[in-house]
Amino acid sequence: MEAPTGRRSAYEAQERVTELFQAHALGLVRLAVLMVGDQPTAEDVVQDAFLGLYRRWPALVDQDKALGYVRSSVLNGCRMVHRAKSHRDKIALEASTDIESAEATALLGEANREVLDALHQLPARQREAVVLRYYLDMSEAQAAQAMRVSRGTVKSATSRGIAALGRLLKENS
Amino acid sequence: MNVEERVRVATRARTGLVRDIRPLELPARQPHRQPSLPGGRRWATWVAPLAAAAVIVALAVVLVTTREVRHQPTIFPGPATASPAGVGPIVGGTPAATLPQYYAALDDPSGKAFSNPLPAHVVLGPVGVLVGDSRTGQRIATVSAPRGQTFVGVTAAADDKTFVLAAASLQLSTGVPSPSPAAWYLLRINPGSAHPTTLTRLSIPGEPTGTQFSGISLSPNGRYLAVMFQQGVWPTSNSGTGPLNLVVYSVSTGRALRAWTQQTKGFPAGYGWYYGRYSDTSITWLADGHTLAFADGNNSGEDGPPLGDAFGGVKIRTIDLVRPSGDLLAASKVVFAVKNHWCMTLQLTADGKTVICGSYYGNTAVRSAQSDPEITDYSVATGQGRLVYRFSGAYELGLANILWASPDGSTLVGSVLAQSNYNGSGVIKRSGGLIAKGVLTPLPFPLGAPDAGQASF
Repeated sequence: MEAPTGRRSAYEAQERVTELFQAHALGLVRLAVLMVGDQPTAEDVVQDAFLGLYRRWPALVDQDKALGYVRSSVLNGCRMVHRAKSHRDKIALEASTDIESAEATALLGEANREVLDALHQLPARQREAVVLRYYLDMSEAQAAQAMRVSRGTVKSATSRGIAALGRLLKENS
Repeated sequence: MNVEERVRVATRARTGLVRDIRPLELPARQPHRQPSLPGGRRWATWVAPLAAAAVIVALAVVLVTTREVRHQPTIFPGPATASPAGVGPIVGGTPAATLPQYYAALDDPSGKAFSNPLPAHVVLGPVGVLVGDSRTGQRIATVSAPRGQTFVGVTAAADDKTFVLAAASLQLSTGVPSPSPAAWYLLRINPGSAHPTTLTRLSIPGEPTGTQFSGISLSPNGRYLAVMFQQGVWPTSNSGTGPLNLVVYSVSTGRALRAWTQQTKGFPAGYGWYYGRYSDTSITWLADGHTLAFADGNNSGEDGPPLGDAFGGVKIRTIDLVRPSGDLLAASKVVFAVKNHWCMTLQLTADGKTVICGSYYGNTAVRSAQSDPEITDYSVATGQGRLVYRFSGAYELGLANILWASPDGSTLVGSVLAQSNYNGSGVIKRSGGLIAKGVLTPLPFPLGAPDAGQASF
């Protein structure tokens, strides 16, 4: 017997969201790692974003834009992590159990660690703008869409972020 | 280098270290509620209490029967073709509470795919997967293999709802008893919902025909799939026999996170190859979540032909995932060696303290009552062995397999195949279920292939 429409939708949501996860989750976790600093937290943020997509799937007007929705959710989730410092600290402790955390520290190199440390000292909006522009090589328009701000805001946030990074790296050298 | 370039380099270096992530965890959907009964079927409202009463009476009968059976030294199997639906629930007093509730099992209605010995010109499948409830005996769903494929292996995570399935092409060459997985699938189960299973293809690569798969094992957290295989073991391959590989894949991304190899001088070497089966269950994950245990040494000198006295000298090795890829023997260490005991399944428990051997008898010059299927456990600390279960009957061929073990090995799920004649011409009996304190309590999974890893809990 054919399942009711609502149940078909739920089934379709699980299939489609799982497919999207398989295709894009790794890239989104990498993006989130740059924002929050550790992989377990980044994975939590991405999981939450896909869970939100799954729950809202039937209400999505344009399901082809699901990836954009998830990316914005991830950026928003990263901001929330920074606001909830105690939560972040708790999860950061768990990072030590990740089998690749020690390897990551060893392989990064001092110069790269300095840049990443400086990046994490930036205000959230500046960090997002810098990462989207120089890690994902997004245009100002694309970054503005992902951040849900104007192009002008992206431009100024990027400029201020790069300037701040320059100062921080100079101080550390 | 300016600041922008330094950002590019540093961010790419950091993200390049993120190579796998945990699978998506979606909530189980709401149970599917039956629509209200139409007016013409109101009789069902008074039939239901009667049916419930009948179930209670049946349960009482099963309780009494099970209790009597438990006081016998061994349990003799039911008919070889016993219907899973006819098996009663596991009831009070047993360690069933530690047993995962749900299982996925290869299900071959034709019975051809799991013949023993495998005919030379066998036409397989398609073999599906049955998802069931080990406590109630209820069949939850049957998952058909995608078109042109047949399922050949199954392995479970610890969350009781995530499985990985191996699928091979149906277009198999004759005489290849170990179909190489051409594709891998994630099976998620949501019992009680309108769609109780979801099957998603994974990006983990397949291997060419002729490859022997000696073991597959999903990590308890469902993130990693460990696979042991060797290309060119079976005669359809033109490329010769390659090295033995132990590869750990990310379930989410399909990437190989670790790959260790063992040079075998062109000989088949992976434990399980001799049995010609495709899903040996000898790879296990220890409780720390990043150490793998695997059976090895089913050959002489670990790099020679797998025959002779060394056949019974199988070793258990462990390898830590923090070790870099490279040489399998150099990166792993021997934690236990079995002497003069032919074990079809040899696995280390999650606490690392016990080695469990499911016997493989019947291939020796002396075929006698010794060939009854047996399960023995060994203390890693003392080396002392202890008979856990024996399927008595003076059989010529007996196979016992361990499909699941509690972390300390005190409770097992095993399956046995016993043949009165080695060549399969006589009586064949199969059984499978929960094994504790020397007693096997049947569980309702299909008993098609006790010599393969046909069910996972």
